Amino acid sequence: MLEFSEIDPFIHKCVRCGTCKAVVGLFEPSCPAGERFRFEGFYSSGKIWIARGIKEGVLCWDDPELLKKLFACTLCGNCTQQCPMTVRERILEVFEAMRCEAVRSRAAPLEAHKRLSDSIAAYRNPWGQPRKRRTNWAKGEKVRRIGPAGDAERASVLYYVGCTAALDPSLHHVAKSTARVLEKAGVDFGILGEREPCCGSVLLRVGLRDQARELAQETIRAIHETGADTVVTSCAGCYKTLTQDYRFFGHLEPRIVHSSEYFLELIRQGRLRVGRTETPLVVTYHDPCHLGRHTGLFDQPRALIEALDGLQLREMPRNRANAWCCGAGGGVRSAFAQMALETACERIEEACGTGARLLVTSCPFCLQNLESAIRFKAALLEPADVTDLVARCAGVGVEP
Amino acid sequence: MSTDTERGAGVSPGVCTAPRGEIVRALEDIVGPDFVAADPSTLYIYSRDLTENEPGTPLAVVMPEDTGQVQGIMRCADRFRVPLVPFAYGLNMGGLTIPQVEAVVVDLKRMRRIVEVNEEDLYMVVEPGVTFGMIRAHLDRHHPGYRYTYPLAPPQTSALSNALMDGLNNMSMKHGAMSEWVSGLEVVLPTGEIVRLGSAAVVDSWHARAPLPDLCGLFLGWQGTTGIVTKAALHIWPCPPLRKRMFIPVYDTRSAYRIMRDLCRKEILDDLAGVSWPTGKMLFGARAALELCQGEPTVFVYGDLYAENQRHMAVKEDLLEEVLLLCRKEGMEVEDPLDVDTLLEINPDYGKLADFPTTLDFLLDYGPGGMTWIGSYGPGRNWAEGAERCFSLLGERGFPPILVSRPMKGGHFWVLRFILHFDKRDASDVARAREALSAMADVLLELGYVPYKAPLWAARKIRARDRHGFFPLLERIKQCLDPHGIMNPGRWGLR
Repeated sequence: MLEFSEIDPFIHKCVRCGTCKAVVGLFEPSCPAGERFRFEGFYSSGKIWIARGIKEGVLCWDDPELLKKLFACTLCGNCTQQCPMTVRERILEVFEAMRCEAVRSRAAPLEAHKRLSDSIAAYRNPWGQPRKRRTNWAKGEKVRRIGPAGDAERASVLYYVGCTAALDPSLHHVAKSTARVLEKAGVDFGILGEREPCCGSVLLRVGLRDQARELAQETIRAIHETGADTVVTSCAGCYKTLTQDYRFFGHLEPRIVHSSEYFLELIRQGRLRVGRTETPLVVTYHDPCHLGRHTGLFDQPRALIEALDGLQLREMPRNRANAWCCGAGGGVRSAFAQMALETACERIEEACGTGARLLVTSCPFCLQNLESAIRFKAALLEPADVTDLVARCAGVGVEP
Repeated sequence: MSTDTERGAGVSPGVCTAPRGEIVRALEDIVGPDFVAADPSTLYIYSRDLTENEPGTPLAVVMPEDTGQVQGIMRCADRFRVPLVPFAYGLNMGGLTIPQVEAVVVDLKRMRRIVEVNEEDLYMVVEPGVTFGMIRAHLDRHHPGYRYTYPLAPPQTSALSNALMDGLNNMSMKHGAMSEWVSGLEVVLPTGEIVRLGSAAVVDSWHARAPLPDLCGLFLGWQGTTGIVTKAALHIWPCPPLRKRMFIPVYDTRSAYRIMRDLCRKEILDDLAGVSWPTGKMLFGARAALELCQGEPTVFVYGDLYAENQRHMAVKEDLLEEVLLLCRKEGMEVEDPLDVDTLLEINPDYGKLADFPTTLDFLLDYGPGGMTWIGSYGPGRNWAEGAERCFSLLGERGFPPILVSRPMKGGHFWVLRFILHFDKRDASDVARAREALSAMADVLLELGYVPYKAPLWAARKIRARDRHGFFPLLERIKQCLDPHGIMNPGRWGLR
């Protein structure tokens, strides 16, 4: 996690060769912001040069157009896969450091991001919803709240639900499916319930690092109080934040595992039996940026899909490390809704091109945005989370 | 060399008196408000490139979507007397898209259609925002039996501007500089008319520039000073099924020249080029100070053999072996050719040069971020002397002797291109690079090597050697095509 004062070694190498603008070999676009706005400043290299301009004192934070370039980026990291320079691995950190500095300079957060921040401060979630609604999804499910003042003191596994699946009623199926699969496999698990705080991912992405640090410490405490030795999450954003970012804020004892990875383990250990889908289906898989490019989980969700009889996985041209972003991340969906929708629409077209009937992903936030695009385009594609498929094949599926 | 005070010297700016806001609004009426920008961060990025050339801030940046919008922009510029600078896809060398006066940059990357690929008549028609990468992907996907030609440049560079600027590519040894691949153009003139040149002017086909008077020359090599090219027809070629790329280590510059010369006269290779030892070391991943160790080859000659079948390939390989044998008999030290598979065994990084377009990380990632070069076309007879003298000039100034070279069009002319890495943050390092470039340009011109894609400082040196009325003629043609001087004023020293 870089500070703005530390980015110099990484911003002067970029020669603006433009390789980051498209997927090498395929030469399809890689940058959602660049594709949407087209000016050089919206591409990765442009933002790096803006950092130089700020360092030189030629540009200043207090410029709405500069902030638009900086924040209309999903931080998907596709540029880091295409960039031919050795500094590529630090590019996203450079952008996050710039955002953080913009906040510290009081030029940011953007108004939309301020609302997220206020909501998290008030309710511990970015969706502006009272904490008590956090467990609405669990009504009728066999789920225990663990930790102090919970139904039980402890369980070996904590299911960290995440704000989106917990609070968007249209995504409750992700949380339900996850819980049902854990139950079906006989896993000793529980949830934090109303006491589950936001992981702080969105705060980190929009430059509110200081607020995120405080929240992370609260989350770490809450997790430790459960005594769980494993934390399972079905949210790619939470997974990235807990595994990649929290090490800068404190020490998280339990093993953190994404549900797709964990379910695969359960199947391989023989603890979870999965049968066939009702009808054979061609599916395509969308790699969430937080799960794929950022944390390297490309194979596990695919292996999980392949472990389910009756599903045939057909890849989109831009897949794995080259996957086109859904368009929602990095605070884009809240501040640049049209860009988020257009980016998702492009992904939907790509998914339709495979001939698949089912578009599977492993992130509720991706799913939310992709669903919007499917509706907008009236595409003949059914969205699903990989946990839903596992639940269906395990005989505990959630009715849509 | 261009400096802040020199920028725009000799140019007649100041004819535009309209306020920026008025110009921006007029441009917005043409392309829509989303595609005009005049904010500081946008202008900052378009004001500079990776080279040593001084920045120059544009008035605004506009992004047209089609020829009609380019026409509208041109008419608007003519009305306001505001200069325009064309900009294709984003990678720019030599300060060639840096405005020399306060001008509107016309970023053409939204125009990225491959309009037509004609397999029968061996051409394709592309817009300015089409990159080599897009062409490669499109041909591989839809026309797998055909190929275009690729430069030693990153894949996201504009094929059209490379052709207009007379670049060199991996089939230039056989077919010449890229302007020779152009079989027709669509151009928006500074006065706003849209014209087509070549066969497409009179028939519904872009197959050739002949036999009409060849007006494509009014736009090829002019550095965007005579109009904005909105479509170019470019030759494509059948792609033979067999290809072999080989690298031949050679131990001195003069032997390398002789081997390349003899090989290209056998007419067996589609590509033939030479890179000096630092490039080879960079390919192996060297990122620190480069040094030649005793007994190491100084030049890597590489070439592509294409063939219809194995027998055809064997004949070509025999001829290649014959040339090397003869050279060895004359006392030259030259290794046997290494094929790509062998090189990959030594170091997988060599795969980067196995196919085109390359990502060029080995060249780009060396040094602290500033990069520049001087490339020139000249007679083969002075190639070795030019290489050696420029190596010395580089060495005296602390630069490694990075050379990329190629015989062009069967050896009718040759390339000498030297690459320099420097630290853009360090004024003394920038000055060192400028001084080296200037000294090399003097030597190259003395030996008959004329810089291509010439930056302003090099254009001045070229112009100073004009004894035969060439530049006055350019001035007259420019005046005729662009009476109000709105197209990229300053380039080639033209108003």
